Amino acid sequence: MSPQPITDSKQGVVLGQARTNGGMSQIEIEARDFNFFYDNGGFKALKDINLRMPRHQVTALIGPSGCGKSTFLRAINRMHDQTPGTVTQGELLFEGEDINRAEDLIVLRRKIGMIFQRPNPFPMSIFDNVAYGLRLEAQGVRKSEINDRVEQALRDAYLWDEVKDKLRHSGLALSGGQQQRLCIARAIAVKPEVLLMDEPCAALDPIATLAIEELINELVKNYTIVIVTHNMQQAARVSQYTAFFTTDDSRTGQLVEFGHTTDIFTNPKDSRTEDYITGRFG
Amino acid sequence: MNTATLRRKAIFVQSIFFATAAVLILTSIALVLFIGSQGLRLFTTYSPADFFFGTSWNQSTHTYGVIPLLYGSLMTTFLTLLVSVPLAILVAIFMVEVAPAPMRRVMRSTVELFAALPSVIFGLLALTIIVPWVRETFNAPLGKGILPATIVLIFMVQPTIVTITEDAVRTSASSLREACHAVGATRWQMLSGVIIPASRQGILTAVILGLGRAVGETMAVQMVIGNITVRIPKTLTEGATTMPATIVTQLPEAADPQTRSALIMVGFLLLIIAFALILSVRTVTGRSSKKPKAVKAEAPEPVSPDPRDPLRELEREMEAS
Amino acid sequence: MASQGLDGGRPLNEVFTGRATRSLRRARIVDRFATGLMWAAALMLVAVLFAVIASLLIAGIPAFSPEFLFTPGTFTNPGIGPQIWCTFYVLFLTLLIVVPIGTGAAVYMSEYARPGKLTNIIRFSTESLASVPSIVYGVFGSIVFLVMMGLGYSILSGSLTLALLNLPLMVRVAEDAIRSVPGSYREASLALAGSKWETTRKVVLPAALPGLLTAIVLTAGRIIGETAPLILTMGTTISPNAYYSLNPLSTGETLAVHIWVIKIIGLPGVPNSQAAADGSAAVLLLMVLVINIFVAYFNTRLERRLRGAAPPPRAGGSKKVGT
Repeated sequence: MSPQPITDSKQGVVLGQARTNGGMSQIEIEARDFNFFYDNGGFKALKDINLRMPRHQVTALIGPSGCGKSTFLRAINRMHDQTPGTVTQGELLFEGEDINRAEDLIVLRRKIGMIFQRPNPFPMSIFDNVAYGLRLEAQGVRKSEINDRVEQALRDAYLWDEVKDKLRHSGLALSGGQQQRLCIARAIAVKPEVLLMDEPCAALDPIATLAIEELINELVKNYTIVIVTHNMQQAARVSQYTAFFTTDDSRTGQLVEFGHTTDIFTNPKDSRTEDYITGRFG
Repeated sequence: MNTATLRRKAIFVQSIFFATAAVLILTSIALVLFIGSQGLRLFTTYSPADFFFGTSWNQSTHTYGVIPLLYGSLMTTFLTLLVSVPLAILVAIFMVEVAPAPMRRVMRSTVELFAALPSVIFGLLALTIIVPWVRETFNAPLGKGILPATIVLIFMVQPTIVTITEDAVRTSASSLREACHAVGATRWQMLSGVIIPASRQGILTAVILGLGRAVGETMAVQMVIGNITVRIPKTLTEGATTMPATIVTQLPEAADPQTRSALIMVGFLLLIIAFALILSVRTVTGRSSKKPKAVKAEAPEPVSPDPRDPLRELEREMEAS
Repeated sequence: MASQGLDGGRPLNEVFTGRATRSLRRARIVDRFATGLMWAAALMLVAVLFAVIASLLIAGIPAFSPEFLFTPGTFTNPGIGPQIWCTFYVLFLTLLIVVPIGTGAAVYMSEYARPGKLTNIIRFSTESLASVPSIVYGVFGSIVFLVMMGLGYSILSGSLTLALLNLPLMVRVAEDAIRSVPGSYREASLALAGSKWETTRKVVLPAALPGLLTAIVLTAGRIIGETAPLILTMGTTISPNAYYSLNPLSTGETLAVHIWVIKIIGLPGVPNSQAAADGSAAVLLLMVLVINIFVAYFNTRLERRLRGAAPPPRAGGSKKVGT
């Protein structure tokens, strides 16, 4: 399933297939010399990130705490716009268009959904949680269509069988793992192209984690997924590509190595990657 | 000092502190006991039915119908909340989600100062600004009544409702804001569809406490409502009264015991209303504090991610293959 | 299928040109309108406060003069000297009662009380008392202090009433202040074999001092503005032989009461009563403003101290930087 790999001279690592002219590109998200600052440039959080994430693949972002992987993830749908004083430099492309030049954040975020560390369902019924994003675009969408789309999203999130009899119950009454799958259903109900996942299993028990991982393996058929995780085994289980980030002395995050997950884990090119993978540090 | 002396001293100190705390309990009991007994004494000489259903209060004819007082209190409170609740919610969500940081500081100081202004100052301003305006605009001879009282109360209850609503909105916004953005909601869609509904218990508490503030406000209302107790007003711009306004106007000059008891009985009604409101606040917040507990019980223990342990498993897997 | 939007798969580059669906455009108009409404509501509130303060000062300050501020009112001069004196005297007496009791209760609730029925009752009492309208305290004072204790309309009756009225506020703010003292302070003292009382007196209360001062100043602000309970317990006049008197059993009249008396009862024979009311209101307002500046000052000091106890991570670290 993975696309024909090519070698990027600059990074010297394996990347997805090059973009084709005109049609759908194989590269969904691309960073070109991307830098990120907090405090109006006072603190550099990411330095010269070059990265090409292929369509309909899972890319895992790993690295020690504070290495900027979450910062990078949140830059992809511009969650940082909420934080005053954040500045970007370089290009971060989504389908060839610069995300940071997007005038319409709302449209951008409907294309790039996000799942957070803590499940955060809205304090409303299970049905309304999933229908929320659809209703924001309610014009011209029939009620029956909303019903169908909610059911489809819940099925796609492997949650339908567990909740079909209690769609009117509060989303907060579900277990942690179910809540996280509800959030995934809420995100995919609006049919985004990309799903960003910020340590989606950090607050879940091992069984719920396994369910989410199985779900990710299924979702990747239709979505491009970028996942930040602390859990090496999880990165190995769910991702086709892995990016290893680390920090230098000034606490600026940088990309060390990017490539096929199996290569990163079995044959890391950079000694820092190897140290981290083998647990000597971080 | 030996241990026995030390222990005796510790017990002594603790009893002193307990005594000061006990003042709070004693005051509550004494409030109910003294105001209740003195107020209920009215009914030894006056029929409760005439008190609760009488439509005129006239001390010179010994008529003590509480309806004009109740009507004025309920009317001013209702109209006040009608305007001030939406206004306060707008201001509160403005402070949480919209205002730039300097503006937020300005708003916070504004709300604090509104809370700190003495009610007699509100009354003075209402008397010099609102009353003449009502007199001219509505062609009301006095210019006093429920309308000017309502206008001044709208501002006086703002601090109570804004502060509590802001707290509630801030709490729910911090946990839900990102989720809303991630689905692609506009700010207003987020506020109206998710954050305000999620904050409804806090907002309800704010409204109840604002209601208490409006019902109990005395001076500002007394100065602009006209203090007409003998009848129920037909319009909002003719002389009316409220329960606290009647007490402060008539109690200092009430010489005869029956009038005194009647006025104290009105005070007892206010006390009962205050306790009822605080009980309803407890019910509202009690419900909210039970809910998360139920969820917590169902939610599994979070597992802290350990990067090393999975690694060893991975190595084992690779060795095996 | 996944790449299609709700409108059936617009070309992607439309994403960034801002051309949105009709419902989104409408949502955006509503959003802009709502934002405008919120700004309007907020600015209105600020403008009203500004107008209130400005109009009070503009009307009142011209009345300021040594005769006005420091001498008693006569038929020709609406002086408020005795009223200012009485305001401070009532403030002093009330604080004398409410501060020790309030602090003591706060210490009990934060340091001694164990969770249980009794503690719940005290807490419920405090909450309830805080919600009782001030006029009801006036009625209570009129029954208990005036009649039963035979103190009559007097500064003492008024101060006792105000003390009860402000007790819940004092307890709540003081308790918050004491609770905000880090537990490690207590442990350090107890580890040195200090008794609980010594720990409280030598460590906890000094550490909570800025918060306690906030509580006192906040209470003071309420005391000087309070009117209704005083009308019922302290009277509305100062007899000429009790001007600047320290006798707590004489009747009294604070500035706030004085404003009400001028506007509602009227000063018989005094020609310029509006100026007297405006001047009194300006003095009262200035007192309130000064008190609020103190509150703000103590609050910043408290915050700084609390921040000092647990320094925040450096700029970048305080935000979420790729965990």
